[in-house]
Amino acid sequence: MQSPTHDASERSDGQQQPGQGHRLPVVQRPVEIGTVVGSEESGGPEEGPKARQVIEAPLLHDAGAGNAISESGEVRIKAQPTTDGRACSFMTNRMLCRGFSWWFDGTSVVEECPLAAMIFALPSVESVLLDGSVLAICLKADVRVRWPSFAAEVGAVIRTYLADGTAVVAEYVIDTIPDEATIRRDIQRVVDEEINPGIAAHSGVITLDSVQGNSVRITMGGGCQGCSAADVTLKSGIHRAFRDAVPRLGAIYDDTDHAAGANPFFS
Amino acid sequence: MPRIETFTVAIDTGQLGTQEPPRFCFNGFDCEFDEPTGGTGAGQRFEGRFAPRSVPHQLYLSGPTEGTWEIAGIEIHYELSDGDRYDIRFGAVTLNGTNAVNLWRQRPQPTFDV
Repeated sequence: MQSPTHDASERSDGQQQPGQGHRLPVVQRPVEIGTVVGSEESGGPEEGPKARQVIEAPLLHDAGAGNAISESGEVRIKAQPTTDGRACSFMTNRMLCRGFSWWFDGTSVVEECPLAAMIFALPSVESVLLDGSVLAICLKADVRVRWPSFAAEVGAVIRTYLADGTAVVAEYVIDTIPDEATIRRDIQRVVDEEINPGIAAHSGVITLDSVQGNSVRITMGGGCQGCSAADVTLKSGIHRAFRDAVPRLGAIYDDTDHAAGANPFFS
Repeated sequence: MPRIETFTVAIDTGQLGTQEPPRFCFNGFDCEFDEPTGGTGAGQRFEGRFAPRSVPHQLYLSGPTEGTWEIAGIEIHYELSDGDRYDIRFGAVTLNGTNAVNLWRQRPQPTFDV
């Protein structure tokens, strides 16, 4: 997972640098972190700082929200709404999906996942994602809720279902998940033939970083990184194209470090 | 966005260590950790801290200029100017002279029991 960055020596945003007014940097030497694209080609005796690719280490989430995953005992759930209030993750101490993830948009889920069907019975839920010990729900676009009370309703539904010990996703559904190679091939085709040509006009580029089970991780680069419309592009364009190409696709994770965007289109 | 007052990092090295002292890049400045303890040899744990007192834009841990550094895990404790403190944990990553790993993460969203 790469996150291209910019040459820090070109910084002109007026932000305070470390050490200004406080302390000097410990080491005074040319900064090695530079732009990934192009800096290797500068060449010559005045070649700039050596470029490094900035990669992302896997972020270790506190599975079960501090509670050890268990198959018995009390069901414990922690809710974590997003900053925009559009979605909320429910971290449980039960393994909901092992080795795969599952995404529901509310159609034909009763037989596939009774738990998801029960959650869709609550008002305003647009989609449900299951991954590991986490269940995440996304609300319809024009809906806002008071999360403390709404999350309590969702938590009660989850707790009631999990207390039975019933499988969360039906076995026959799991058997229909394509293998990783097939998912990688089909998603890469969508990236190459549909998405990247479409966002090339904005100097954007999408990279498929990995496929694990039926979950994919992508990064948004070029003009997409840090762009104010990146979220819309991701949800309205990329998600839809990916799910059309691979109907059994599970989670889609965006690993882009948008705060480090060097070339947002609307900068 | 609040400033990072200080951050403390603990790096667990896996099978392949490095003899070079860990370096990091904060907002384009190449720095070494203050008060380093431990080591970066195979199986060792390194700890260090730094007080940038600045708004973060970049925080990368650089790979060694020579050889490969297999990192089994990284833990970072951030202390912000608004008084908030939080920890971030990363899994395994392999660094060398061509790459660096991003260490900066915004504070996690608060959670509550339901």
